[in-house]
Amino acid sequence: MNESLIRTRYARALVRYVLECGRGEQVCAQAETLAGIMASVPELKRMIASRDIVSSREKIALLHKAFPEGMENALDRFLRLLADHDRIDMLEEILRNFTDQYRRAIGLRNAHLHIAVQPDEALLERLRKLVRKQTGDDAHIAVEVDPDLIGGFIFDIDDHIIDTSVSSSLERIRAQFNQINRRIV
Amino acid sequence: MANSIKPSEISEVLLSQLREMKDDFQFEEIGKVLQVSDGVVRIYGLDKAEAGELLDCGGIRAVVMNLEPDNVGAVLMGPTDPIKEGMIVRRTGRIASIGVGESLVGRVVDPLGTPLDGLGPVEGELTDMPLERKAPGVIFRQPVTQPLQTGLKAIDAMIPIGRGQRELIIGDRQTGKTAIAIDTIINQRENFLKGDPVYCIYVAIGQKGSTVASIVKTLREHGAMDYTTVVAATAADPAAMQYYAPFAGAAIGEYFRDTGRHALVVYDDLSKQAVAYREVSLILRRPSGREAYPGDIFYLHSRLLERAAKIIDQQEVAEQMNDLPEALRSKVRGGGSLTALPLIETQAGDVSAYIPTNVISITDGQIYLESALFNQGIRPAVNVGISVSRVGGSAQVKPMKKVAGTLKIDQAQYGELEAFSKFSSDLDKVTEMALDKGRKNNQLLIQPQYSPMPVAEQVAILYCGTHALMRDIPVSRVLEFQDLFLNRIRVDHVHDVLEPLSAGKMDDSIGAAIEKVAAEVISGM
Repeated sequence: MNESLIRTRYARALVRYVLECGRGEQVCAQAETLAGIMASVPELKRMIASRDIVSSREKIALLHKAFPEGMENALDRFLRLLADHDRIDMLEEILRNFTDQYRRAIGLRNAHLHIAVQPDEALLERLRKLVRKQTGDDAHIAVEVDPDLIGGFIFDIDDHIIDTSVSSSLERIRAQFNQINRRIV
Repeated sequence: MANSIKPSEISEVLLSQLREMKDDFQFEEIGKVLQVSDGVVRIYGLDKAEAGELLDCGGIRAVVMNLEPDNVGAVLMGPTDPIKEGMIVRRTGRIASIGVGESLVGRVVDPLGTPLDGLGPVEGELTDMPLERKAPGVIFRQPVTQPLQTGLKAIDAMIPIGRGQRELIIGDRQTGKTAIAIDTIINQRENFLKGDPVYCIYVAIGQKGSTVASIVKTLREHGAMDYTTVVAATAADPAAMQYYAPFAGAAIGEYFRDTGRHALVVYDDLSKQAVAYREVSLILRRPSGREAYPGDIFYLHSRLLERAAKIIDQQEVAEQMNDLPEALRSKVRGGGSLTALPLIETQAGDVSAYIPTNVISITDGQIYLESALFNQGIRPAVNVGISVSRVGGSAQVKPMKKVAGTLKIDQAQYGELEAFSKFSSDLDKVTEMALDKGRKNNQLLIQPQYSPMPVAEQVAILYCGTHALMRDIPVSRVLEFQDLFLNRIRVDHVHDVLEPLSAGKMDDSIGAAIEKVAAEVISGM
C-alpha cells in the first residue's frame, strides 16, 4: 500500500539533489533512457527486481553499461542509495516519477505531435500557444508523421492529450457499435 | 418531431452562436497504463482523477478505486485482454452513474445502464443517478408503516415486510430464495393495475446469462416487466461489474423513492457481490482480513442497504434531503420508499459464516430457508423459528394481525412438539389436537410458485387454520379444502368478506361468514 508513497519520496529527493548539483538536464535524460530500456526489456526489469540471483553491485554495474560515455554521478549515487535501502526493485517507477517531478519543477515541457501529414509552422505555433495558455510553460514539440492516423493529429504533453485523428474517431465508433449490440436476452 | 423547429434555431441566434463558437482545441487529461491484472489497471498520470470517476481505456470503461501518490488503481468494466501496457487512459469527468427514467422500466441493463435486451438505447428523459450515494439521514426518514405484500401466506402472515424495510432472504442453494423474490415482484402487479405501482428492480449478480434470461421470461409472462427493471452482471462479466450491480439497482430504486413513489429492489445475491469485491480488493492489494475479505466488507453491505428507506411525507423536509443529485432536485417528492430484499447463499446451512452474520446484523430481519423443509415439500421452505421481521409487524394489515398474530409462535411450538412426539407413541388429547392443527396450518402455508395470493384471501383461509375450522378433515385434504373454500368465497362473499378484508376491516360478522362457508365446504367434501 505504501509503495507509491515510497517511490514519490525517493523521486522527490533526487529532484532536489539534481537541482542543487545543477546537472538536472543530464540526469533527467539518462533517467528517461533507463526507464525506457526497462519498460521495453521485461527480462532486465525482472533481473533488477530479483533479490537472490544478482547482487546489487552487479545490477548497478549492468545499468552503467547503458551509458558508454559514463553515468551521471548523481544518478550513480542514487542507484547506490536504492541498493543500500533495498529498493532497487522500484527503480523504473521511481525514475518515471523523477522525470515527471523534475519537468514540473523547472517548467520544461516535452510534447509529441503525431500527425498524418507533415505539419505547417502555423499549426505548430498554435499548439505552442495552447501549451503556454494551459501550463504557462514553453514546449519543445517532437513531430512524428504517421499515415496510419488517416487524418488529423494526436498531440500529447505530459498527462494531457488532444486527439483529432480520424483513426481514433473510427475506433470510438467501433466501440460504441459493439456496446450497443451487446445483449444477453 | 425531429423536423420541428427549436427556439434555438432562429437565424439571429445561430449567427451569434457561430460568432462565439470556439475553435480552440480542448485538452483531455490522460494517463498511461502501467500494469494490467485481472480486471484491474494501474495508471500513471491522471493526477486530478477523483475516486469513483469513470475512465475511458480505449473504449472500455473503468472506475477509479485507488488514489495513490504516483498512480491510480481502477477497475475495468469490460474485458481485460484489449488493455495493453502503455495504453492511453482518458478521464471522462463523470462519476460512475446510471441514467434512470421512466423508460428504464421493462428493460434489462448492465450496471452502467447499457441495454442488454436488444431493444435499442434507453430513450426519453434520463436522470444521472450516481452509483455511490449516501443514504438519507435520520430526519429525512419515517418509520415503516405500509405493508409490502409478497403474496406468500407464510411471509405475509408470519414475517411481514414493510415498505422501506430491508429483509434478508437467506438459505442454501436450491431452497427457493429467488422464487420468493420473483413471487414478490409478480405480486406487485395488483398495485400496478390499481395505478399505484411498486417499481421493482431485480439485480442479478454473478448468475448465468441463461438464468437471467429465464427470469426475465418468467417476469414477462406474468406481466411483471411492465413495472420491473433488471440489472444484470452475469458470471461472465468482470468482477467490477458484479461489484457495482447492486449499487446500480439501489440508484434506480432511489430515483423512484425520491420522486415520491415506491420501489422494491432485489439483490440476487450479495454473497457473490462480496466475492467479487474480495477479488477486486486483493488485486488492488488492499489488506485482507477474515476469509480474505477486505476490512470494509461490512461497510460495503451496510452502506448499500441503508439506502433502502421510507422517506418523510413532509415535502419541505424531503426537498432538503442530503446528497440529492442536482438533476433530481426539482423532482423530489416526499413519502416514497425503497424496500430491499437482499439474498445471501449459505454453505451447508451455516448462518454463522462471515458474510451471513454481517448481513443478518444489518437488515431488519431475515427469512431463513431450509433444505430439509424444501425436500419435505414445504415450499416456501421457511424455517419459522429463526425467521423474523423486526419492523414489518407495525406495517401488517389489521385483519392479518388479528387472524395470524399468534401463527408464527404457534407454528414454532408445533415444530418442537412434532420433534418430541417422535419419541412417544402415546399422546394426550390436547397434544394430539395441537399437532393436528400445526400439521394442517403447515399444509395451508404451502404455496405453489408464481401464484401469489391477494391479502384478503390469505386472511380468510388463515382464519380457518388458526381457528381450527379444519379439524374434521384429514391433513391430506387441506389443500383441496383451501381450493373449494376460496372458490366459494370468491363467488359468494366478495362484498361481505373480501372487500372489507382488503380495506383493512375485520369484525365478528366477517368471522361468522368465514366459519359458515368453511362448515358448508367441509360438509360437502
